[in-house]
Amino acid sequence: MPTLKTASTRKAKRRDKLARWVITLGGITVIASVIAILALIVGVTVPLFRAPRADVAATCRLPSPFRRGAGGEGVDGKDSTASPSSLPTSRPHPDPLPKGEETVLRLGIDMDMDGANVTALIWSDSGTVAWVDLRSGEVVGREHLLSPGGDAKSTLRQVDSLGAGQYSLSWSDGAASLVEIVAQRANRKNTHTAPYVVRSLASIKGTEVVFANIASKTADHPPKTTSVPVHSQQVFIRRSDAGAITRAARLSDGTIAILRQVATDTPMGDEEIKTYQNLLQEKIIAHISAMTMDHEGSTLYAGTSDGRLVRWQLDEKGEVAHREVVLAFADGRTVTALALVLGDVSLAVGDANGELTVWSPVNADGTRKLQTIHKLQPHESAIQEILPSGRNKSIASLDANGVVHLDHMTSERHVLTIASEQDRPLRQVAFGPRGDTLLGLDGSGALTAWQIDSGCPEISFKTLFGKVLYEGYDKPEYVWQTTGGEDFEPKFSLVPLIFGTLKGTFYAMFFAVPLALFGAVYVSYFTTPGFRRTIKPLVEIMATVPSVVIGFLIALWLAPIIERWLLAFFISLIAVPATFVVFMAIWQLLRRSDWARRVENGYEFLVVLPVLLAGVGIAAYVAPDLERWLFVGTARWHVLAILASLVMVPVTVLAFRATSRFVLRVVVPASSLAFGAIWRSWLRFNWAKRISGSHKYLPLLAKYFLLLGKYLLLLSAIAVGAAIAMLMAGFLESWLFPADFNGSFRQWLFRGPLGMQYDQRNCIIIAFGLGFTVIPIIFSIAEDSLSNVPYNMTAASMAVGASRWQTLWRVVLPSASPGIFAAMMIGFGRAVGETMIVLMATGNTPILDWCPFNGMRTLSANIAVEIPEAPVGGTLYRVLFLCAVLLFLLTFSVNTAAELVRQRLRKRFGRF
Amino acid sequence: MATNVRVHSDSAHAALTPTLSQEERRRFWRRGEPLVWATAAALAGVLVLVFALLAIVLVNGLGVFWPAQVVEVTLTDGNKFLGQRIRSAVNPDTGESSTQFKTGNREQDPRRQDFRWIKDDAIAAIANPAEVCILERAENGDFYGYLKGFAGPDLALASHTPVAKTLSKALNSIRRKSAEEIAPIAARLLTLSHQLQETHGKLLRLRYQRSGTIDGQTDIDRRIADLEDESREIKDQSDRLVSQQQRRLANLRRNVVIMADAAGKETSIALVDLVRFYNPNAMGVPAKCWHYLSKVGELLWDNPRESNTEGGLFPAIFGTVMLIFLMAIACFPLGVLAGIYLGEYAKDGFLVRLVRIAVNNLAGIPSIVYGIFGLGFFVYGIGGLLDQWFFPERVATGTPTFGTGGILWASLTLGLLTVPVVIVSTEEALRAIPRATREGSYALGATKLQTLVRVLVPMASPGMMTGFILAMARAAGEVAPLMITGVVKLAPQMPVDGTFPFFHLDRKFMHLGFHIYDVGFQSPNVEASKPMVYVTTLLLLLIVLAMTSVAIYLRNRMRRRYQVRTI
Repeated sequence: MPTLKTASTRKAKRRDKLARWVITLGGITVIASVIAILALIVGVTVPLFRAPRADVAATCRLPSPFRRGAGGEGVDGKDSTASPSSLPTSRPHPDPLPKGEETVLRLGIDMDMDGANVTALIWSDSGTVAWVDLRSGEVVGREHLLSPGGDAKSTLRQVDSLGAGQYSLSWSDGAASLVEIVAQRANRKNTHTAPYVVRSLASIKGTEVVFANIASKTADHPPKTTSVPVHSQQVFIRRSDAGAITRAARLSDGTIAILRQVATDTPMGDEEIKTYQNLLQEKIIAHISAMTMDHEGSTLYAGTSDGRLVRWQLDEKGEVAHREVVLAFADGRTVTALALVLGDVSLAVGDANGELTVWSPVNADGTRKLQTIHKLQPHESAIQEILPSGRNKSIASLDANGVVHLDHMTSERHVLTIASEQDRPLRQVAFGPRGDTLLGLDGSGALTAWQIDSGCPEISFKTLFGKVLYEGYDKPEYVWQTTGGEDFEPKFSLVPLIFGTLKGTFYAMFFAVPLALFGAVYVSYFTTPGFRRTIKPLVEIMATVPSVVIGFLIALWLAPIIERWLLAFFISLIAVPATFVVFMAIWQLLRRSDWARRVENGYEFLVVLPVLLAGVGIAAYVAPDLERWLFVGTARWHVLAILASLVMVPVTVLAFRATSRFVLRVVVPASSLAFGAIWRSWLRFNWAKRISGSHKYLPLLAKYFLLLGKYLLLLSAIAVGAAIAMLMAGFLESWLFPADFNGSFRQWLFRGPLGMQYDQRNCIIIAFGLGFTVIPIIFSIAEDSLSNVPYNMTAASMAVGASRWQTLWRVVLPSASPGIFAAMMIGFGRAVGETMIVLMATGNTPILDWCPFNGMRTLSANIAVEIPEAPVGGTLYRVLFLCAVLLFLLTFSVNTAAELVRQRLRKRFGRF
Repeated sequence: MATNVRVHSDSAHAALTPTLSQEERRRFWRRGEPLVWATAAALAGVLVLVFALLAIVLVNGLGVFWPAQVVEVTLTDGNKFLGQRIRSAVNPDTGESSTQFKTGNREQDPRRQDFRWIKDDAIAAIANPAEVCILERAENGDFYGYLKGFAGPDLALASHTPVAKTLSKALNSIRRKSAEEIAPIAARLLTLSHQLQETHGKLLRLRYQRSGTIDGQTDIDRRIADLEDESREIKDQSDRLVSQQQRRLANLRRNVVIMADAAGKETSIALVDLVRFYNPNAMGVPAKCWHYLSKVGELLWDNPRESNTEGGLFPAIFGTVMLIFLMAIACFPLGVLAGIYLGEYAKDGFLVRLVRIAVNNLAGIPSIVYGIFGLGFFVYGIGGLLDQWFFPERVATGTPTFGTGGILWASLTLGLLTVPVVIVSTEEALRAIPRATREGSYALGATKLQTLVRVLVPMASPGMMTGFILAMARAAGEVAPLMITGVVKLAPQMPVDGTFPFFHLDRKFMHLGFHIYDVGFQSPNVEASKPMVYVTTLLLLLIVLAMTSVAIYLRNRMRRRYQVRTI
């Protein structure tokens, strides 16, 4: 067939082809990009579960003057001085070291934000701190510190890192000092200044305290000459936030000397320094194998060589306010390392078996006792040192094999294992201030810095969905709590949020589904076409009411009303159905007239509307009086007796009626026989003879006799019911009204047997609010699927004599049930994801409680509440994205199910 | 069979007996009539909900601006105050009734409240003084009192005229004076602040450039020095202007109106601070209507005052409209494209079915999920990239331009949220067109594109329009995703203004829906802010309902046109 090949057709065809490409490409792109949402959101949450990594950032040899201190047992034969678990050395003054040989006591590491400079900090026993650039291996700065005791020959014996650049130093002459190392702001023009400076915070000369910032004052107070009588094995010096300085020294004679210096303002305005001293003399001190002290200097922890843990709580004057000894390990293993996890609440305990546990004072029977709250992954050999992170609740632990474990306390997640090469076990380690770097000194004298990307160590499946024993809690619980102080333990349990979401949705569906489905049934089957055309758009308009409007109205308009009329609300739950039933009873009389019959052609809802309002009105009218009547005073026996008999008498009467057939069959013949026997004996009387001889009186007598029996039985049933009610009232009274409730239903709810706290923003409110958004959705979809059931089915059912309800119930509903299911599913999906209403009207407290009188926090509201405070890329940020993913999956699966059902329905009826 | 017989006998029985037989009663229940009534009751319940919502909003929203009578209440303890009755309530526990009054005069209340609950028993007398006057002030809310007189250097007033008239004259003269003296300074200050901002931007960029290099950038150093000088100069100038403005304002402030409150205590209120005054007890209905209209005008065209609880909603209305407008630009073309593809080009198969389900599904995804996507993808993803490319200096100082919430990102997020609605309605509208129409077009030799453009799209346009309007209505009412993509309670600058480049899509914006949330829930003085929230609610509801009604009307018209069911 010849075709027209003019220029215009060619042009048209070219355009057509182009358009096809553009539209296809565009369409696919739009759809693909829309679907990519899930991928992106999931992508943000992936790092939550990503494996942590540690990369070697830099490595170099230990610079020349330094010599590796012994961390483990005798790799180079030297006595250990660095490890807190070291055994006492009896030398009061160690020999001065040969020149050029300085033993490394403690390491530190600092890294720039961008990782350009990695600086190691090396404390050596000569009192020198040196900074080494790890990339080049050069010493970039050093500073020599002198003992505050004034002895220039005195050497450093022990250095502890307190985090945040603070170190506590213990000198060979018994003095101790607390220093802070501050990074100097890099100045490009002047590169000669040291990158760091050492600032002294406090120091103690023998037993005397010298304040760094008021050093001039010490000149006026001649130092006490009391020297430390015995050699101190381990010294802790701490400075509290308030400025009080505490020093605890474990002495070689098995005592602990505590010195506390508190500066107070005198009334004259001067600063007065008060010194308190205390000596702890306990047998257990001799067994101590590891010790640590909190940053405030108020609690001292010790572990013993026979597996016990000791906690001394010190008061303001350094006296022991509370002492606790627990047998931590029944097998008596040695506690080899102790450290306080960030926040100073939990104690990490490492033992000789390589096990790592976290202990915390847990409330048990009114007192707080140390208990294991977490067990972390064990090491293969004895733990030598535990280093807490300064950023979160992670801890690093070094064992005798030279292997470092990185664990997170809350999630009990083993984050990383770091080990140097096989033959060069790590001997000393340091944790970076941000918890993202680790410096290790291995047996061969090489320094290695690792950059740690620990991801989100606080997140594990258990912390998200399981019960966790958090610090300060008495038992494992589901808690969502993300903001607190700097050393706060974030609690990321999603369970309360999921629970809240389902709770709100449940109450909303409970309210919305009957209303919406019944309404849809009525609109599609019983009302007139004219009304249907008006009502459907009205419901669609209802669907577009902004949720913020609904949220505002229910929270600020409805909530106070419900709070005030709470009892009326509950009464109307009974009163409205009751008035409806009464109305129905009246209606069946009225409907015999023609005008009333006409109402049944689809105008019922207009007639029933005032009835419902009347029900609410009655409830509102009755409620205040009833509330006063019920809840004032405690003598409620008569009230309850009446109420109970209102229930019990009908029950017994109904029971009697149900058994009346049995009664008539068995009891009546039996009693008749008995009566017949009596009657026979009466026959000797004339009147009896006359009656029994007459055909007129005998049946009458029998009938009255029967009736009498029946009513007697009925009466006895009522009496039994009343008696049961009286009995019940007695029990109910003591149960329901244990006290006077001042005429308030809410007080009764709270203090009565239910014990429910009433919050103004609660589930009843939410049911109304969410219900309002869900009703139009369920209504529209259900109405569509109902009215799409082919008419011939209805007609056939009517033709065989079924009533309109029977047709609906037996014919239409089964056909439309998939559509109704879909409607409910989609409604559910909408209720689950609704944000503004729950944000405004729930109070947003993440609690686990089904009680309808309190609020909740849903996943969606949680996102809205927390995302403004979540740092980008942080754990909270990612967990919130995880909330979004959960919401997405929940609604997506529900909606997909509904959509599949609807598509099948469409296919079945070939319409829509 | 047996039951049938029984039914027959029943009906015969019923016909015979004059009273209602038990059987017929039973039949009424058994045949399910009460259940039909129960469904009717459910529908009635739904309608009650809808109308109750509308009624609450209308009653509370429409009445806000109507000037109510001011009464002088004398309490039994002898104290007096002026106020407007708001509502009364009965304490269900004690049976005492009390009335809430709006008393204004916030600075005289120890708790700085505008409202007071007074027990009815405590009220000794209530009077309706005709001469009472309400002054609306720019700060501290309303003042209720009696006009006593005026004082001030700039007021030359004849005292024989009625006081109210004098007040309006005085107010006018002061306003004129302020327009002459202060407005030019304010305008100048505004331009100066724009200049300062610009200089700061340049300075930031130069400093950033210099920090990247080590030394020897004397050129940049010189320019930095120049700019620093410039900014210092601008600052000096604006400081001078500010002090001048303050001086003049202080002068103007000396013109006061002297008011006496109910107790007779006199207070002087600067005329400059007055927004409006009226005398509700002496106003007739036309005057009240005029007052009402002027308040509505203020609502629509003015800026908010007193932390959003007074004044207008113009920035919020503007923000909402612009948001919807941007959303429409982003979403409609793409949605229509995808809809046409699905409806006309895509071959029906498993994949397309899957896509259709997915698209339908996306309409049901919670809006907060879109919001968080917008935050992650638009704000931090694309916005962060744009910032790194174009404004690295701002990232370094922690004041990102695109890397923080703004109207562009919010509208794109909303566009994403509503695109499924547009896709679905476009596809449905196309599918509703009978096959014969297409075949007719093809038979005449039209290509697919020609059929689409000339026949199908015009025929489907009402359906597509419905989709657009529904999408816009949804966007107008959606708040949750905006909260995390850039809406603010008070935006200092509008997204469109007179400074280059006129459209500032990176700016944050105000929104009616968020305004409701913020004023209603985050405001310190909830009671005083409630009227404003109701008005905002009414406005938002009207906008959304109007849009939806138009959509429904269009759809019904289209249905009638083709006599086919859609949507």
